[in-house]
Amino acid sequence: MSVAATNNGGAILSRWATRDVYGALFANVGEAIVALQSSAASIPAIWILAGHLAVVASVATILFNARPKGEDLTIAATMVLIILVAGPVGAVASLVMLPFVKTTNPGSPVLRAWYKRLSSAGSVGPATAMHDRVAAGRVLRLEAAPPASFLDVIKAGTLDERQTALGLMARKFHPDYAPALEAALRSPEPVVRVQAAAVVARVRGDLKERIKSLVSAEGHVGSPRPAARLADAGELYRLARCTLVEGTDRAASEAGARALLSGMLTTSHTIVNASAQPDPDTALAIEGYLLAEGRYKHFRVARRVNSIVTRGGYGIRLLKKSGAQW
Amino acid sequence: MSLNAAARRAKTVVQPDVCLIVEGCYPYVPGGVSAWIDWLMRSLPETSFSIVALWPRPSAMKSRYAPPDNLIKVEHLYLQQFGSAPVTRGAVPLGIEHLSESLTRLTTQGGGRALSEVMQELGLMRRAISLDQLFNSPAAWQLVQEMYRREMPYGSFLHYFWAWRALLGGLFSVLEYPLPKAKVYHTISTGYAGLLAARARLESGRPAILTEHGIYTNERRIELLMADWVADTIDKGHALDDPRFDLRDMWVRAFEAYARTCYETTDNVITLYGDNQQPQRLLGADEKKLSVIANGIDLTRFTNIKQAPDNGRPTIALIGRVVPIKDVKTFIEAARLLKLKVPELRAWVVGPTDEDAAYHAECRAIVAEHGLHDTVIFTGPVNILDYLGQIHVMVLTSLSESQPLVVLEAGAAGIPFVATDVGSCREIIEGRSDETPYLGAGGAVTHLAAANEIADACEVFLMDHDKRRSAGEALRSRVAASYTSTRAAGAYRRLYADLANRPTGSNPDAGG
Repeated sequence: MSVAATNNGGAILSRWATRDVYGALFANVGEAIVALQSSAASIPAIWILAGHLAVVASVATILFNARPKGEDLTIAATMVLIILVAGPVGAVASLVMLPFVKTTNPGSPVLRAWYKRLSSAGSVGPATAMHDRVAAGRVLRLEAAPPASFLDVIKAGTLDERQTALGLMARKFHPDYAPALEAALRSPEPVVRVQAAAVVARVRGDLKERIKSLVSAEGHVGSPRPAARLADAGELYRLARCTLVEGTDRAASEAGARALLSGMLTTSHTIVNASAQPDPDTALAIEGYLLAEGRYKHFRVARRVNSIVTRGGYGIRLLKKSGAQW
Repeated sequence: MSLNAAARRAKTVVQPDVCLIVEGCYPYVPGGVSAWIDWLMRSLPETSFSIVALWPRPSAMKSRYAPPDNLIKVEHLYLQQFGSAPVTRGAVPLGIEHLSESLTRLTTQGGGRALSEVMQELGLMRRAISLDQLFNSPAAWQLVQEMYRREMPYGSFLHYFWAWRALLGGLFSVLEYPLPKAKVYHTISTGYAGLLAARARLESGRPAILTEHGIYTNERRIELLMADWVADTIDKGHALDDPRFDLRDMWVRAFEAYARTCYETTDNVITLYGDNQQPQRLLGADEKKLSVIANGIDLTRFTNIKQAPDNGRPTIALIGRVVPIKDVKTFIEAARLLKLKVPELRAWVVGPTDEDAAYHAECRAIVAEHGLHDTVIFTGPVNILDYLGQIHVMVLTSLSESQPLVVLEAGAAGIPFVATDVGSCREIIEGRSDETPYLGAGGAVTHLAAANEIADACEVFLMDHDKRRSAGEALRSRVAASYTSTRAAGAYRRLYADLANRPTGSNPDAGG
């Protein structure tokens, strides 16, 4: 495209448009001289033709020389062709068409956005994306029955169900799936055992990487948000108890959880705040840490706060009934 | 026939006796199936072979095997190179709807009849447009839309389109490939190689056989079910019974359909061990076609090996590469547990350690952590014949195997084996259910990743010398009876001879 336009529609003449104007002006002057020569003097026709071709070549050089790669050459090529075919008339026509081209050409960013949209590669808003998915029937079916226990599936499901469940365990692994995976390793069905072994090999690698990333994040100066650190501690605690995690990694996970919590659970106030969240693994991590440190008073505080959070009013009533104080 | 004679013959023979169809292995990937193919050709020097090697695309890989004298030709079929330039003009050929139906049937259900129909439809189509052009033409666009509407109307069309291109690109490559002539076609897997064998069976009327080492469909299924690169375009959550079809299902179903086609069309379906026949039966392989030809070893290499002395240092050994699939960490853990009961224990890990340096380092770290420096010893790559005479019990902790030769080698040396329940380990160690006379257990089979079971089983053989010797003898007898390379080569020699002499004609079971 020889005329660039900004994305908001305010077209401006770029240096390439200037080049087009120069090219058109040069063509008009050159073709006028050639036309005058042909009528005024007794110059052979071959020389007139040579002169015309020289003008066309010069215009082409002005228009095409050092254009950036990928630039749209439609207008420049059209101008050269018009001048080549129609001589002086073509030169005038190329000059006249420029203002029209300027106002109708979309700029390359506009085109790029359009192509992107056409190819579906463009980003759409979350609401549009959700609408598309609902309309196409690709969302989770809320009316469907809750998923079966993977352990039950592995023990008594069909071969197809067992293999699908193992695939899901591999792609969306959670430490709670470990018993199901171990049952699959002991399945009397060789096909299931083989797949379970492949899942175990993959999951072990994934867990190792996850622990490595959590533990290294723990060591970073300028700690992340406390909630994120607590969640990491909870996950490390959970991983430390996962039977699929290897011994050394389990120890690293345990130590990582401890290190995260030791920097946070310094006062009763921080313990109350930390315990006031419902994730059971994080709660267990906090309690385990406080017990291991021998901080029994803080341990009781953490349990009571967590009891209130998880049981709500019932938890408060229980506490009142027991006459507990903290 | 001598090798020289075979070489002379190879130069003059135009049509080989056997065309081997192999996918992703020989001659560029060493070991495993490639080693088996090399063994097969060298074991039958009187038989001439050609090979069609299927690969995704040309690569710079170098051949890892010197071709034997009886290998006449190696051809390449590239699966991901089908369709060159787009064809923007041209009318949609008549019969595109029928082709869409047949292709849908072939890629979803499979079977000889479905393949015949597709070959027939494409034959008619070729009169109007070459298959190469068809694949990039408006006709292909209509085809993909038709098949999308039939198969996956819920899914993302964009994803379906590219999956369709990959799936049918491979299929069209196989159907368009100029079929090499041979007396017998022998594919080493199902999948696209199996499809080519099925096509050869239907088109040439010559017999085709299949030898499956692992179960290709199952391997692909496992790979696809775990793959992150396959997009889930439908959110099924954790539901196992959601009937909506997605890309993952499409791929799995296609490979199953291709396997069904191969099982139905080929004359013989061979595996290395009985357990592998179960998935073949599930995909419709006819019981009459099923047989087992186990791999074998050369027993003469092991005749001079003496048993480890009873009063020698108690030694167990794992022979294999130090890589995660061998689960060497479980072996180390088993050694740790066993050492508590057998303090003098020595546990060798015999095999290369450089394939996965990180895993090897982790194994060494575990050894260091438990203070097992004097117990667990990594020998690196060595000649196992130098070590077998000092080993009391052999161990295999692999998570996956087909038919591990190391079990046969230990058996040939009279060493009892403790192995996980993978591949044909149980069959080799405990014997097949129809073994007559029953030779006894040649060791013990444990669950996967069960260090305590492995330690317990090893302890029994280390502490009870009579039991160890009798198990070693049982394994030696079983290997001598059923797992020699002479026996395996003889079975293929007889099979090839029988098939090569059959008259050319259609297979009544193939549906063609």
